[in-house]
Amino acid sequence: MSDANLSGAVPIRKSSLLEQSALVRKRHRTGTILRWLGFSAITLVLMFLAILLWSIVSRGVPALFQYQAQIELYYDPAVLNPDGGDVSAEEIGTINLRTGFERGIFTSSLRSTLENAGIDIEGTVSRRWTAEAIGALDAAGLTGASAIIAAAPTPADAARQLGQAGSAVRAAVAAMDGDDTNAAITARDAAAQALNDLGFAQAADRVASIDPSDSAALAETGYQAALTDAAGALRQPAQFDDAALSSIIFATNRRDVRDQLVDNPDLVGTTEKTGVPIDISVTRYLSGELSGVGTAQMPPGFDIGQLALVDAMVEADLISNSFRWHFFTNPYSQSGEITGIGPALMGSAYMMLVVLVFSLVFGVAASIYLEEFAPKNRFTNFIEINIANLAAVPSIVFGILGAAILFTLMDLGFGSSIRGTALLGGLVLSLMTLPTIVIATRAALKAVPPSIADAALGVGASKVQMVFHHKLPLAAPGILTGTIIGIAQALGETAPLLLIGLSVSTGAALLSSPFSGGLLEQAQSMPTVVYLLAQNQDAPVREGLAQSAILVMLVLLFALNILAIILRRKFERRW
Amino acid sequence: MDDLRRIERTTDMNDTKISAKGVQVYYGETHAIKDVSVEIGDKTVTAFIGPSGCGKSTFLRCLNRMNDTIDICRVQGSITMDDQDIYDPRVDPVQLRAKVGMVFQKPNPFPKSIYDNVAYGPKIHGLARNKADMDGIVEASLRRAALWNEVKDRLDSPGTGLSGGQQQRLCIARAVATAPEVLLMDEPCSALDPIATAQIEELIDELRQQFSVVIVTHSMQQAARVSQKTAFFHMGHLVEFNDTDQIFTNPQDPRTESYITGRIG
Ligand SMILES: Nc1ncnc2c1ncn2[C@@H]1O[C@H](COP(=O)(O)OP(=O)(O)OP(=O)(O)O)[C@@H](O)[C@H]1O
Ligand SMILES: [Mg+2]
Repeated sequence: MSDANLSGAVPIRKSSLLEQSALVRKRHRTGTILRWLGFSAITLVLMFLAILLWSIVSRGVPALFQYQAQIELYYDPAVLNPDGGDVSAEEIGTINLRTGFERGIFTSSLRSTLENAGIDIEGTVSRRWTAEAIGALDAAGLTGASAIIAAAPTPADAARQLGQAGSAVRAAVAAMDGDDTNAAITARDAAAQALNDLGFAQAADRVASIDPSDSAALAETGYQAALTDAAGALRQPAQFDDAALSSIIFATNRRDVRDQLVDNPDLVGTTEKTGVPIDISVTRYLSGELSGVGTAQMPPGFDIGQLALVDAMVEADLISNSFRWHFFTNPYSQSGEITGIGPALMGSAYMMLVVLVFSLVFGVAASIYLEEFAPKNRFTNFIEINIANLAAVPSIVFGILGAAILFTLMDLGFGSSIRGTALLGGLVLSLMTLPTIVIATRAALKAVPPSIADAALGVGASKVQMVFHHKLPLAAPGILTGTIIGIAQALGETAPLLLIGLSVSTGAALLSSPFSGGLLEQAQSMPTVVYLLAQNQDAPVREGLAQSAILVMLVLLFALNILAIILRRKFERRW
Repeated sequence: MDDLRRIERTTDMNDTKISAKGVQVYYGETHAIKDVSVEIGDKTVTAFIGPSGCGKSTFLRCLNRMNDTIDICRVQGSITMDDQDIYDPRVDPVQLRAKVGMVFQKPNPFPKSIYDNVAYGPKIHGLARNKADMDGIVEASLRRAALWNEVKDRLDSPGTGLSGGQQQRLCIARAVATAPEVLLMDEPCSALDPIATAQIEELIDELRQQFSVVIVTHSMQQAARVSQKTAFFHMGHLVEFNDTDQIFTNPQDPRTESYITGRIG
């Protein structure tokens, strides 16, 4: 029945297979361009990803190591049990953190540890300041200062002499600035004399030879500044006190140590070799980030005297750099030295548990109903569209919803007990995750070949049996993938949690088991702790520990994704 | 040979198993089956033939209420099986389908082991009291489907790993495992090579001892080979229903004649 008349058909053209026609060439060109565009897009993305990862890892990993001073911590009974007699935990609990623990325990323990290691604390500090003074003078050409300082009875005397000489030079500059030539000559000579008296003969000659009207030339010598600086430096060691000593280590507000002693009063009177964290600013010096020379390179709040002690401690092997295990168990704290993500990790894990239970159960149930059992009418259509829309709702909106529920509960009288708990956080995140899971589950159910459903119904399976025996197992990999993606999303969600109080419960301790009320305890969460860490007043916390916490989250997400892949492989044996 | 068969036919043709009267099927606005009445005998192979889109599958699916799963499909008229209306509201389609098994055009084994494929129906209908019972049912069904010798050593391997013909026989085994009274087959051989087709045809002839078989086919030769009764459908109408011999040797309707001689289609 084929039509033999081909008059309407395209005429056959003869052409060589070996040469490309213009059309084919054009197609090839488009193909090549598209290939290159795709390739460069991928390269660019990978590059950004690499930069991002590198920046996180290069900051986050070193921050996981902490400098600690190995201190013989002596729990002095004179401080902890001043009345004598039996040690009472209650009494320890009332001891002042500053006078008792910072001064009485930490400072004196540090002092004795240093002394036992053969470090002369005051000597080390004053030697460094003296060197600083000599350095300042040398730099200005005032050589031979060490002899002068050594000759003075005390550094304070030397400081006074240098200060007087400095004043003489300043007076000379002022006089030479004026119109009175005689006065200028007198002042100049007095300055030269003062320098000469101190032993700076060369400098004295130079000052004496300056034209009395040329005040600028005298100012340019820099003698005055050097003398004043040196005098200042020599006065510093006298200011070195207990506070300056103890600020090197993390000794303030050691509530944790006090709590430990309250729990275990037997420790009183014992000596424990303990790694006490070095102050977080000083760690920047130890890590080489700050050189300690000049104001800009000085750890904020510290001076070279303290750094000299730190150097001496390093030399005496009293400072170690060890892994910050407590970062994974400690609660969040303002102080970078002891801050941690323990409760946050637990809180996030609990929330994931809540999310898993709620969103998986409700999500899968809702999807099965909508996909298999719901009548197709306007109402179910409306629900379907809205579930899809829900997936695009910004997470903070869910936070507001959570907050609204919270306020309602508060009005009813039991809001404060649920505020900031993992249960509330988990519920809010479940709402967010639900659409993702519903969409994934429905797609997975749709993807099951209809012939399988026919087969099941054909042998007399009921609809429920068909869904649960055949469709659901086949859809499981897709459902699992959707669930894990949803949970991973929820893990990183910050905004809703901030609104329902998961960031303010900063005192949260490790939670108890989720089956014994842990879900109803005040919790922290990883993203909110990252947020808090990134706002910390100390740069090493902002730029180091925040990245470490993010690294932990990335590792968790990575693990979740690996899990998703493994589960999918396991279930995807579609024979 | 031919004579022998004819004798067989006449002896086996006894009671009516399924009786359809004035069946109308609509897919939304489409009127797919128009006033079809047909009587399907017990222990008989009935073939449905007709051009593509004429409604063979639709009518077949009415017989075990598989059309219920299509939302837009409406069935009117009466279909009775052993004098009971299968569309009676009191009838559970699930129970009906256990009695009226179905084999589909494309082999569709479950993505499970060969054993589980066959055991699924008996399991959900509670036909086996214990494992030994079930083993017996599985073996008997696979033997019926002429598959036992090929798979007896690998009952745990996936059913989807079999060849197309084996898969179709597995689907037949699955269908007969629930001990149905009627077996509906929608173009069961369309995906198979001549050897597998021959095996299945042989099988159908054997199954006739116990079941009433309804087979949809596009192959006139197949209809002539396996069936005792043939129904010719055209554009939703049942044009002619008669003994297979009659249809192929002495068609009453000109449309039937032109179809079997290859002029419509
Ligand atoms: N699910 C459906 N929805 C809407 N219309 C349908 C549906 N299934 C079948 N039809 C229509 O019903 C009519 C009969 O279809 P049916 O599948 O019964 O034909 P058939 O005889 O089995 O054809 P074939 O030999 O090609 O399988 C056709 O016009 C078809 O378009
Ligand atoms: Mg068909």
